[in-house]
Amino acid sequence: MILRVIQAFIMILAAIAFSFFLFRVLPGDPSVAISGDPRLPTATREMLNKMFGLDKPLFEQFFVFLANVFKGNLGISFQYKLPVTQILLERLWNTIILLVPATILSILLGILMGIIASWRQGTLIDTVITSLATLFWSVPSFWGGMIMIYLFAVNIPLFPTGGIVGYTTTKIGWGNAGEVLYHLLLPMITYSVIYSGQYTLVLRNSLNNVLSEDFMQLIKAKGYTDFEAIRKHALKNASLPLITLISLNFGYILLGSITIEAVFTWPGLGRLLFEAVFYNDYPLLQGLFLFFSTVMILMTVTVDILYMYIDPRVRLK
Amino acid sequence: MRMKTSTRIEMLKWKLSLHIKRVVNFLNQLRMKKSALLAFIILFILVVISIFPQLFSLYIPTEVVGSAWEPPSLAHPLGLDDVGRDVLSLLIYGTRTSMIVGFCVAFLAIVIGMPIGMLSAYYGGMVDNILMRITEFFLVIPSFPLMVILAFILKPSLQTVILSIVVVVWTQPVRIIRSEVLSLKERLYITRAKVVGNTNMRIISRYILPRVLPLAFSTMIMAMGWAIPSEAFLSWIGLGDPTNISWGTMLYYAFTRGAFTSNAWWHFIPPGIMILTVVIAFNILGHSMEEILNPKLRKTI
Repeated sequence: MILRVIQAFIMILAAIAFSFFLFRVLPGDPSVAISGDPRLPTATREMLNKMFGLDKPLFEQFFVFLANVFKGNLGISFQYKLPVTQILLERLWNTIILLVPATILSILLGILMGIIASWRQGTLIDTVITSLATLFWSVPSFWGGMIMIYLFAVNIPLFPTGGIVGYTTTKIGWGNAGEVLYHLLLPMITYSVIYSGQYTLVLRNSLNNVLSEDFMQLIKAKGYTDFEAIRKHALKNASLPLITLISLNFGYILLGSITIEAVFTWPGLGRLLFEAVFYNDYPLLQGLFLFFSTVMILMTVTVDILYMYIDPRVRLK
Repeated sequence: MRMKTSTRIEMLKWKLSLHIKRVVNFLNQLRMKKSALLAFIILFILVVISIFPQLFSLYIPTEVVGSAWEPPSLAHPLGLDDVGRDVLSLLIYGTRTSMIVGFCVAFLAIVIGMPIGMLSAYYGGMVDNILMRITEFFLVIPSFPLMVILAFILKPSLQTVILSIVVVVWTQPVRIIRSEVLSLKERLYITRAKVVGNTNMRIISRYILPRVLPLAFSTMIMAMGWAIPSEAFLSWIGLGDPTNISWGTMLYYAFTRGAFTSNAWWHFIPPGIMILTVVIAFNILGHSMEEILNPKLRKTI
């Protein structure tokens, strides 16, 4: 376990180094990026380079960068003229507001659909659910979002087309929770429907496997109905693959929100990534990359460790 | 010892017939699975379209042939886009981009991933440790942001798009090939080859590579199914090649230029359906190939 934590720490260090060199080694003059004008006079360019310490050797620059990252200083965004860390923390809340309910909903939806499909195994309902789940699994989420906006925000104007609050509202707080909720519904539903597909398929598959085992015959012989047999006995045995999938997905949940946020212009971290690209905001982009990497690495390690407790077979290895 | 030429030709003939038999056998098995056959036919048609798009499209896709967002009509079955280009022709030429990106990405991912996976599994120990740590690093690094950043930093072009996607997908073949070779190298015939005195390189190329190739092929098919939506995604956020026609670029223009509010559903629904169809078809074909080529898997499923 300690080994895993050390490994994670090394991974994070590697991610920091990777992001540093990614933005330095690849073509493009940083002083040009700061001013946003390639016709910059040489004198100004040298001055800018000196000001930001870009004239120092690469390795010295790297250690300055490393020290700053550990102090929580990720530089200042070109576009917002604010510390990157501050922007990230602000946006993180919006992402959490969207992701937590959407993830829970997608798992619940997946479980429900999986149970129904397995309960009505081989019938039309099963076929419909399985094909729908395959469809949701394969649909590119940005296009799925576009279709949802077209159907439920433009054609039938039930929901707003995007954003977290209306155009006139400037502040987000408990005062306008209702407004936020209203904007939240469509992206949340889209996310959960798209991501429920794979949960449905996995649970259906593992439930069907359990149902074909001998002990289920005995349970049926005892007089349980099919549904009761699934609910009381099969579900528990079939849940391990689902738990594995959910925990494996944990790191990727954050990534899933990127496209959904972009389609629905939800001002979270994913949307921020596109804004950073749009405004050529290098510090913000680098900060985002580091943040996403760190979260992914920490999630993966946490899941690994948690898994040792859930499944004792892993511990023995 | 030299063989007589006629004997050699006989040998070659026999070998060739064996190969043909294998291919026919494979196609026969593919025919047994209806969904796989359908996927194969769809993809075959799309590949033909992507090679000869000019045969199928009625208009030059970059040409303005009418007013913006003209609804579908007989002359333009899928209407016109935001500047008055024929959507069906754009769709047909977009197939080419998707297929090129899909093939190049899948090919490169296999060329990079297969040797790493084989060497890592075969040698084990230190080699495995180093190679797997690098692979793990790329697995855990968030793929979307990395892809976006690479596509953003490099000059926007088709090569950039391909490279950015390769950087995030090459780890999948490594994992698949590695676990296959791990079980292969425990087989008796590999031990026998070693005892007889074959060098490691010879064992890998003569005894392991041929056994891994079918799996590599099915992985490549599936990798195309991952690469094509990734290209669409990059183009959709405006990081694709601006001079290129692709399904993602079509969706980008539809999204940014208000096809929603103009109610121009023909502009954004067809490209998405194409992406969806291709993804599902590649996945079905890849999975069925894996099952056919790997009889072990067929028994367990």
